[in-house]
Parts: sequence; C-alpha cells; structure tokens
Amino acid sequence: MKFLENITLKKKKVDEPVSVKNISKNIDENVTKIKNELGDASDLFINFSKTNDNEGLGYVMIYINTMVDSNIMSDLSIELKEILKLKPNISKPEDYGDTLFDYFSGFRSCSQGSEIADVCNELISGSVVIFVEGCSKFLSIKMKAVQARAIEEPTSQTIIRGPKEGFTERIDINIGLIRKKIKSRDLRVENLSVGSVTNTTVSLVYIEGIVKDEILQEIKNRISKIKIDGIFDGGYIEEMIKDDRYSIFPTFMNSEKPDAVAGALLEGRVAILVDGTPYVLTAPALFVEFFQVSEDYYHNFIITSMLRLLRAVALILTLLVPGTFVALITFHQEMIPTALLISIAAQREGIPFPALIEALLMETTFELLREAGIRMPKAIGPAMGIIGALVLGQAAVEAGIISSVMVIIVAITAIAGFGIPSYEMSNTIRLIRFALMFMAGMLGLYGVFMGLIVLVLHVCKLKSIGVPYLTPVAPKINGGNKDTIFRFPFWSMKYRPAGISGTSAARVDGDETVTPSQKEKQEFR
Amino acid sequence: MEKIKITSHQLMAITMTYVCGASTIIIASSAASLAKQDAWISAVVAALFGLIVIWLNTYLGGLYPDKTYVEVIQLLLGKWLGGFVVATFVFVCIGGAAQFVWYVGDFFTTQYMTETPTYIIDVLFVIVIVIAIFYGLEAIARASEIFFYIIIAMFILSMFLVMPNINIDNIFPVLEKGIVPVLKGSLPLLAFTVLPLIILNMIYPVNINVNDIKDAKKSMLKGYIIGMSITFISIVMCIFVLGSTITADVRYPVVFLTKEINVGIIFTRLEALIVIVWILTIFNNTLFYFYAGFLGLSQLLKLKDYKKILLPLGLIMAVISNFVYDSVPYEIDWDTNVWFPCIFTYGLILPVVLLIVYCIKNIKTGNKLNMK
Repeated sequence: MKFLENITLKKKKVDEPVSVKNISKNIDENVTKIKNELGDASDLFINFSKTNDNEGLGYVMIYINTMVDSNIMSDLSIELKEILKLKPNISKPEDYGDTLFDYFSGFRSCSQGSEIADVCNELISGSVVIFVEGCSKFLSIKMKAVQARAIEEPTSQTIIRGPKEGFTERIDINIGLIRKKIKSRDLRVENLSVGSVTNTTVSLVYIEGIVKDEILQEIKNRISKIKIDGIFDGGYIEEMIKDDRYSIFPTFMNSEKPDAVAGALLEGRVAILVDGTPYVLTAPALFVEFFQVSEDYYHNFIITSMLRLLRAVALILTLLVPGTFVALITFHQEMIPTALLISIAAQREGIPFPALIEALLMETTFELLREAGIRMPKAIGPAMGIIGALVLGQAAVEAGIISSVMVIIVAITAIAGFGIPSYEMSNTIRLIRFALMFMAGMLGLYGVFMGLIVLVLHVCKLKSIGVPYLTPVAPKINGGNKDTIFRFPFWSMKYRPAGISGTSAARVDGDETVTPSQKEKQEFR
Repeated sequence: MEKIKITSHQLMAITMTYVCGASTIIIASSAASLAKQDAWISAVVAALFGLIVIWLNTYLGGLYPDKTYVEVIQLLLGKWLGGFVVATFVFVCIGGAAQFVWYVGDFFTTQYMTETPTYIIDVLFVIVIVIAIFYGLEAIARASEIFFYIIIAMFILSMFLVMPNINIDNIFPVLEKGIVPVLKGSLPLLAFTVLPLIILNMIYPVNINVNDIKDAKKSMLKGYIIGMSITFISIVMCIFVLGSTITADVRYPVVFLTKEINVGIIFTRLEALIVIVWILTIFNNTLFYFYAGFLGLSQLLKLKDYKKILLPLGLIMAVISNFVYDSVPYEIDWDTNVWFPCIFTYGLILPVVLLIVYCIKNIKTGNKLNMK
C-alpha cells in the first residue's frame, strides 16, 4: 500500500506545476483549490461579491463558520465593501492587497501571503481570508470566536485565603492572567506548536533575567523534539520530556491557579501553557514543591511551618502505617507494647486471614471506593459514602472478616493520603504504599527498610530538567532550606532558590547588585 | 568512565556513615571483651590513631587528584606487581562486602526472623546494593545525605531515651590493668572503623571538584569525627548501662542496650530505632566496599562500560555471602586472626609503601631532570 501511495504522490508532484501552490489571479480557481484542500467542509463559507452590485471588482471572503465570530463578520463585510468602493482610482488590481492590508492592519491582526497552504492554515486557525480579483495575494484577518467559559474558581485546587481565580481553557486568557499578576517588562512569552495533526499552541512563559538559561534552553530543546500527532493537556508534554521516563514520581508541577504559577515564575521557573487546558505546567519541579500550596505564603509563617510539618507527617503516615502494621503483626509482635498487643490479639482472634491479606483487602476496597467516587454523578455520591461507611466500617468487622484495628489503620492511611496537597504525588505514594505492604508481609521490618532504601535512592537519582529532585536537602544548599519543610518569613528569604534561578540578586530589601561571593554560594551540584 | 562530582557535604555524609559502618552495634562487644570497662579509652585511642590514617589517605589521594586508589597502585608499583596487588585488593573488597552481607543475614535471622532463610535476606540486601550502584555514585551520594540526617536523629533519640538507665559506677575503676588492654581493645576498632577508610580513596580525589579538594579534606575529617563520636557514645552508653561484662558477652550490645528503653508505658522496645541506624550504616559500608571492588576490577581489566560486570559481581557476592563464615565462632576467629592483618596490610602498610615508592620515584626523576 505504501508503495502505491508513493507512486500516486510522485504522480501528483509531476502533474502539478509550481504555480499550483501559489494563488492565481483568478478567484474561482483559488476557491476550487481551497475547497479541494479542505475537502469541501460543510462549515466552509464562501461569500462572492462585487464592489458595485453586479459589476465592478470581484472579491471573495472565505471563512470557517464555526471558528469565527459571526457578530463581527457582518461589520467586516460592510467595511470591506466600503473600502473597495472608496478606492476606485487604483489602476493595478495587484495593489488592492496592500491597500486592504494597510487599512485593516491598523486595528485588526492580519497578514498577507501568496500560498494555498498558508491560506488553509489561516482558515483552520479562525481567520477570514479575502481574495481580490486580479490580485495574487491573499489577506487574512483574525476573527476567532471567543469560545470560553468565564474565569472561575479552580475546582481541583481550592484554598481558603488568596486569589480565587483559575485558569481557563483558552491560552490567551491564561497568559493574560499571568501578565496581570506580573507587570514586568521582562516577562517573556514564546509560542511553540506541538502535534503534527492538532497543531496545538504551547507557550513558554518565563521572566528574563531570573530564569536560568540552561534550563530554558533544555525545555525548548525537549519540546521541539516532541513528535506526536496531538496533545490535549500538559500531561502529554510532561510524559514526553521527563528526565526519567519510567519513574512514577511527578517531575513537573501543575497548577490551575495564576498566583501559584506567577510565584513559580518569580523563583525562576518556566511555565508551560498548553492551549485547551486550564492546567499549567511549571518546571523544574522539586520534591518539596508537591507538599506546598500557594496559600502557604498568604498565612502567618509559623502557622504555615506547622502545617507543612503536618503534611510531612501525613506523607510518612500514608506511606508507612499499613506496611509497618503488617510487619509488626506478622513478624515482630514483641515490639508492640504488651497492653496494646493483648487488645489487638483479642480483636484478631476470629479473623481468618493473615494480616497482609487483611490489609490488602481493606486498602483495595478503599481505593475502589475512591476511584468510583471520582466519576460518580453528584447525586449518587452520598449513597457511595453510606455504602463505604457501613460496609467498611461496620459490617466487615461484625462479620469477623476484618479486625477493627485494620479499619483504623486504613482510615489513618486514607486521611493522611488526602493530606498531601498534590494529587499526582498522592497517587505515587499510594502505589508505593502497596509495594511496601508486600515487602512487610514477606520480610517484616527488614523488607520495609530495604524498600525505603530503594525508594530514597530512586528519589535521589531523579532530576527535573537537570535539577536534582531533592535539591535543597540533597544536595544540601547552604541557606537554601528556608522554604522547604519550614517556611521562613519573607524578610529572611533573601535569595531565590539556588540551582533553579539564574540570578543571585536579592529578592527583598536588597540592592540588585550581585557580588562574586554570592554567585559562588549559589553554585551547587 | 563517568565523571561524577560530589559535594564536600556529601563526602562528609559518606565518611560518617562509612565510619559508623558495620561496627555501630557490634564493636562495643569486641572492645569491651579486651579492654573491659576501659573500652571507651580504646575508642579515643583508635580515633586519635585514625587521624594519622586520614592524613595519610588524603595525602596519598592528593598526589594524584584524577586517579583512584587502584590506578595509583598500578601507576606506582608497575603493571605486573601493581596488577597483582590490585587483584588482591579487589578480592579483599568483594570478600569484605560479602562478610557484611553475612552480618545482616545473621543479625536478622538470630534476632527477629528466626524462620526466614538467611539466603533470602542476603539476596535482598545484595539486590538493593546492585540497584544503588546501578543508579550511580551521584544518587548514592545524595542518598547518603538523607541517611546522614536519619542516622543522627535516630541515634540521638535512642541514646536520649536510654539515659535514665545510666549507672556511672560501671566505668570504674579506670585503667585497672594498665594501658596494654586498652591498646588491645582499640585493635578491633581500628580493624572495623579506621583502617577500612582507605577504601574511600576510590572516590576521594576523583569524584571531588579540583577546587573543592581542600574543603573536602576538612569535611572528610568532620565526617570521621562525627562517625567516631557515634561509635564512642555507643560504647560509653553500653558500659554505662550494661556494664563491661554484659557488653562483652552480648553479641549485639547496642541493640540490647536500646531494648532497655522504658519511658512511660508505651515507649518500650524501641530497638527498631538503632536497627534502622545500623541498617543504613552497614548498607553504606557494604556499598562502598562493593563499589571499590567493582570499580577496581573494571579499572584493572580496563573495561569501557563498567556497569556490565555489576550484575555478575553482585551474583558472586550474594553466593559468597552465604558461605563466607561457617558459624559465629568461625566469624569471631576470622575477624581477630585474619581480618585484622589483612586490613592492616591494605589500610596502612600499602599506603605507606606507596608513599615511599612515590618519594623514590620522584627522587629518581628529579635526578634525571638535573642530569639533563
């Protein structure tokens, strides 16, 4: 088949003269070509008209009806007619293109060109294309319709205090939201196009002078190397340009909130916006970031530090509690204080399963409930809760299948799991928890230790765009730990995170000059 | 060859975990059996002697900042003699690593999981070590930093909790039988904490940025001092709480010590804390023995892709670890009669010989230069 295709392609190439690619002076010819290219789509509108009703200069407006704003379309067609009427003294029709361009470029985004392929590209991106009889250039005017929902509060990242607006599906609105936060000349926006079929716009936003050049270049390189037919969310990009493709740890932060993204930009990170999704990626992302929320910076620093400690505890609990419990019950009963041991033993007396099976049963049921709850219509949601509470909490215990200690263990694990702010990180920890449970069931605490050592080694190995994942802790950066587990007050966080930001200028009440000694301090591996 | 550079803080963490090493929970027993209640003086003596060893090692490393210990041996002793020495060194490293793996298996099968086959525990340990080396020195160095914090926190916590049980009288009388038993008592400490430091010369100058070498020397010393203080504190606490007789009789005195913890009703049997410390330190210790053996072998054979021998070598180590010692008495016999002369040769005599050879060669080349 491929062979045949090649032949037909070759034939086409031989048949078509070079001029076919270009626009001819004849309007009808152009229109047929475009119709062929776009497969005579039913939403392709072609308006022929003439300057004076049946005589005079002929011109045509072509557009895809579903992409353009029909309210402004009528204004445009009247304007166009007036303009062409008012300029009867132009001798050559060739000049009409330039005249129109001069007129419209004053207040609309428009462009000129002379190739059919360009015409098609303009049409599918929501422009109106105008041909004038006898003119071998086309004029395209951006008339893209505003199809977007309003700026709403983010659904997945809710906060108590702080800005409540969230990104939308439109990339230009999103960039506007960021610009609204950072009114700086140094804010740069670079557009790339990813996806051979979808041609999705991907914007890189960063602050010149704060961003580290190597990181920016690396991201640009990696994105430009993506070869895929289409992308619909930052997740595609994340997966394609990850440092360690097989790791389950997220190495890109995603946020629905402009203030979080603006904060990341200020620290020297690069934001990756994808058209059509309200989730904006920021990179490089470090491990500690997944335990921080934008709200941390709006509350008192001592309170925030306490909350962050609480999240660290949540991480440890959700990771270790089921595994350690299984290990203790199965192998190391002597380590449990005697009073507690007697109580647990009494509860587990009639339970037919070993601790590992019991734990797996309960954890799996909980994960099932959680998974089912996400896609449940809102009306059925409460019913789910009742089933979960009754089946998990009571019936299983009363039936003697599960001990009530295990219910408590699973509940602690679940609550602690929700304490991790990032959904991605919480999913990762969920998976690792099961692995640790298996290790505990087979080899007791020794298995848990070994699993943890491998986990630490793995996390230490990870990098996000060349920056070690555990950066301010390992490799340790002197003075870099002011925004990790504890949040220091703003007046003491003088410098931007080393290794991420390319500048060593002070952030607060400092002069913007960089002394060599500071620069040395910021170097790290 | 990978050109990985580690920071001086990472070197500090590595040295510290390496010095604590296998000995954290065992060494008090050997030292106390020889020096009785003066074992803590033995620790001080060993630590002071260790300063000389550290100086020697860093000096030797500083001579060739871009070469590992194995390469230095080959450079100074020539192709054949050097090759032979390196081959034996590699053998000692792999053998030593296998011994540590045996310790782990022995500890867990005797203390916690009596029904689990030793082999399973050994193999899992070796798998984790192979994974670590597969991830590369960079990841190991960063992980050491994390381990460093965990070790310090856990150790201080457990020692703090055991404090109520201290009985000061246990260390008296001081120097009852003179200085000789004290010096004898420092021998096991030398053999397990101080002399093996030479193995860190496989990473010390090579994987440090040239500008940082001065800094790195300091941080190596810092790591050594922290590690030795941990060893010292564990010995002192054993003698304070358990007394020298029990310390000498028990196989794992520090674990026994932490079993004594009884704060309130709920804080009992917290020996898991010290077991975590020991697992982490012995893991790093075994890791660097194995790393030295494996890197030494690949440099001896001049392999380009050195990771290819990782898996076979790991398998060999897993097998050796199972029959390296027949029994505990055999192990004790080996440690005192074979391991000490062995590590003395490689950790002290060999570096001194290398330095002498270096001096002779330098004089020779200097003479030649003068003649020209």
